[in-house]
Amino acid sequence: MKVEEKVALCAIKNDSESHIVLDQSICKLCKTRLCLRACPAQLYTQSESGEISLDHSDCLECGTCLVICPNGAVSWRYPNAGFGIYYRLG
Amino acid sequence: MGPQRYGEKMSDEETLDVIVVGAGLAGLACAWHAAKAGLSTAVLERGDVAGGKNLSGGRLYLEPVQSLCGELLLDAPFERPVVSESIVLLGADDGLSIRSDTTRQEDRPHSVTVLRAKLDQHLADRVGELGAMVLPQQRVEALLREGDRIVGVKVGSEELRARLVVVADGVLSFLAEEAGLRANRPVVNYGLGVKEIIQLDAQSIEQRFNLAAGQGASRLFIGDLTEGLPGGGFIYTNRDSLSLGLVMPLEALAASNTETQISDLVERFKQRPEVAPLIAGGKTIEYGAHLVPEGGFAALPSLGVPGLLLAGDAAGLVINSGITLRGMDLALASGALAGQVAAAALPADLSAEEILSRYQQAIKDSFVWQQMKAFRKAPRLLANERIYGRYPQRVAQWTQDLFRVQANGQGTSLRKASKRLRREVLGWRGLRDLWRLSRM
Repeated sequence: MKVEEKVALCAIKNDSESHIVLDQSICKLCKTRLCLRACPAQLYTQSESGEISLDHSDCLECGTCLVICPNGAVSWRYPNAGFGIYYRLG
Repeated sequence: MGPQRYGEKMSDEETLDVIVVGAGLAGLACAWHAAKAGLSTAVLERGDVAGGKNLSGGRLYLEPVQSLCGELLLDAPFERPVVSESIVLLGADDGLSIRSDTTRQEDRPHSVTVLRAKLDQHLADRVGELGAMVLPQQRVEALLREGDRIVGVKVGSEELRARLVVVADGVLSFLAEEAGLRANRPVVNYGLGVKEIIQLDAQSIEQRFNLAAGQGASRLFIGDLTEGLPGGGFIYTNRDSLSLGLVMPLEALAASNTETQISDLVERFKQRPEVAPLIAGGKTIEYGAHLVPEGGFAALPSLGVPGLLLAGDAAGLVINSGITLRGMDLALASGALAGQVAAAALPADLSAEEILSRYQQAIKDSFVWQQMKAFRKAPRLLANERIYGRYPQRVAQWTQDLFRVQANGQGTSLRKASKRLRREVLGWRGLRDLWRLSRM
């Protein structure tokens, strides 16, 4: 089962405004790119030109990217009230 | 704006006794004790309902919290009492299972599996019955300060004042950070838990896990599933689903040079022959991820500042002993202690400094602090990669060989086997590791 299919099972109310913002000037210079493989929902991707981008709409709100980024490029806050993941079982 | 506006807007009557941030186990246990003592109490929860943002592996140890939270947990919607324990050491091709079952009759279970959304909503209702307000969709933006004291919180453009703020906002605790209790978030202090809930009917669960009706099992896995990196897998039985997942230290994920993603490891875990038959035909109905504060005793922050107490994951109260991973009982206990301190101190008009020092003392006198301290070496010992790679691989293989009779007719004598275990399988280093772990 692919991770996209798993995330699609979750009840997530998407806010148009992203609760995670990347500092691209830092990401550009980053060699580790830990976000790409650490995010358990695989929301980080890298374009052919090497630019990191993020789809916040399927975020599980674990905070892994915030903690694992060694360069402090991730600004992370909780989504606005009424938005984001809703664990029906937990 | 600022203090003037709030002086105008809020009279003393509008100052609550206790504001709790976060309707998880710590927050709700705190609110229960505070409300029971007649304190005006509000619980602010950022999710749509209590428990809506909460995720646990799913095993709660009840004995340690019986005296503090027994009444709160009465009639709680637990999934199954755990009567069957096992640890499986996984090699590439071999697996060694150690399993212990009990039919001991006990008045109440010592440990149960839980699903947090159900449990937390139930506890929020109980807290509400006592007169506390549990308010969903309230994201606390900031703390309110007066001098060096915390006097409330800011939600949206509203300012809410309280005589005491209990911060139980979970592992990331942005409020602990704002209060200056956590400078940053070192990667070594966190584990990542990833979990699937797999729907399976009760009868199949009981057949596959060899359980009497209504009873539950815990299955832990260590070894090949994490590619030799620290971490482990778990399966817990719920009423009509299984909680299956992996927990790995973030540092291990960061340091590994493989391209493997934790979500791929979960898939491989599900395909292991020890696991696949247990979940066959089951349907994944939820996927989630959550960080675990695994820094242990050495990483504990100060437990508050005047006007503010920290509880649960926000305070880093988790013990990973290698065999048990406990956070929920510590959250319940620390929250309950914060509530009890508030219940005794606020009517007596004690100072914010005195309340903080009483809470710190209550935690230090409790099992929470004592057990965190007892397992203080665990984070370092459990970072040893041999535990997750070499040893499970070799011991699982050694056990297979134990039961073999070779072509030349030679079987394995216990004497030879134990010599081989000491000399080749573990080696002097393995014996030293074992000795250290046994003294943890």
